[in-house]
Amino acid sequence: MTFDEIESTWALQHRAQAGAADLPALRRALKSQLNRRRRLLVLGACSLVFSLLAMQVLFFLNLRVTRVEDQWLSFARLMLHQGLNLVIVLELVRIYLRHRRLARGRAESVRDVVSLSLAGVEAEMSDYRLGRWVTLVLVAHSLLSVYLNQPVAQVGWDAFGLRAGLIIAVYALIGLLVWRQYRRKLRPERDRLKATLEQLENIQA
Amino acid sequence: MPDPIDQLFLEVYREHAGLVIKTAQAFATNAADRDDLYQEILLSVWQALPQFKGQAKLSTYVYRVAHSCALNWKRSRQRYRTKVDRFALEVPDLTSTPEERERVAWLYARIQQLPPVDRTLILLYLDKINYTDMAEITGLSETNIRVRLHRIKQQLTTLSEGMTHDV
Repeated sequence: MTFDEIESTWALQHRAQAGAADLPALRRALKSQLNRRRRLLVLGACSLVFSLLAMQVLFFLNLRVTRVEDQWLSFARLMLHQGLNLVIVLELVRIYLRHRRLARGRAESVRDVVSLSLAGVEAEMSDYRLGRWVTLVLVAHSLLSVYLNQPVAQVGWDAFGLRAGLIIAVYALIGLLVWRQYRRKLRPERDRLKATLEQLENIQA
Repeated sequence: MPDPIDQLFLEVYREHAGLVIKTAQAFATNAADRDDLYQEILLSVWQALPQFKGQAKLSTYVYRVAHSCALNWKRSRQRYRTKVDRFALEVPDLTSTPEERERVAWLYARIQQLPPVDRTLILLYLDKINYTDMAEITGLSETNIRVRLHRIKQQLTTLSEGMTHDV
């Protein structure tokens, strides 16, 4: 097949009228889909805000109930908790800004959009890597809370060990799922976008 | 009073639906993916229209959004697509007879063997987009586009060897 034949095969498509579809129905479908995605995003954001607030409330209730003799330990625990919350809030703001940049850049040239997407994926990957350390701090924080709430002197090492084991198992499971997402989704996505961007580089004569 | 974005979208669909359909067909390998990508491109175009200020031609703008969307598109998981994020929108057929459909499908299968960016370039070329607009859409220089297209055309012809249809 010659290239002229390829072109004439391609031209066969122009005979049909693409605009024959029911336009109002299409518009309704697109609008409802966009609204649904918007609702999902709002719901997700509300759940996160609610979780953060609930964590604060629970933490302060817990702090009031627990009798800790060493006030400095209590203060350190409070600071650790607030530090973690701050990291989570900052991360949420970064995710929001990334999404906004991508949404705004939707109509740039193909190369600009691909580099924007690649930057987004790479930032997400670096967040995941940071998340590993945050998870370790979370584990330490939870173990400290368990240790303070139910002192070993009262409940014994067996009960403490069981609780600590459960905490570590839960975080290990979360960590595995997150690492799987990193390895199976983000890394191939980054490689794919990188390869596409390389194809979009101008070759110097 | 009608929403100006709605009006603009209707204009896009009336005049340029073909390019959205062709882009979806060139980048997706099966019917479900094709419908999925078609939906994604239409949604991207809708969302990008408020930013259209008329500096470029509307068709160039739509090409830019459609190809950016196609190059960034990830296949949805089947479960996600069918249960959560899918509405009944199928890619309209641009051919009139089964013979034409078969020939065009065969050509798309060859185009899909090209790397993604080459697919974009050949689609623009086959749609008779001029080099200046191609450069604006892709972000590549006109010289680069010319050189690449020469190679892509040869590659596509090689891929099409052995295909003998009466045109």
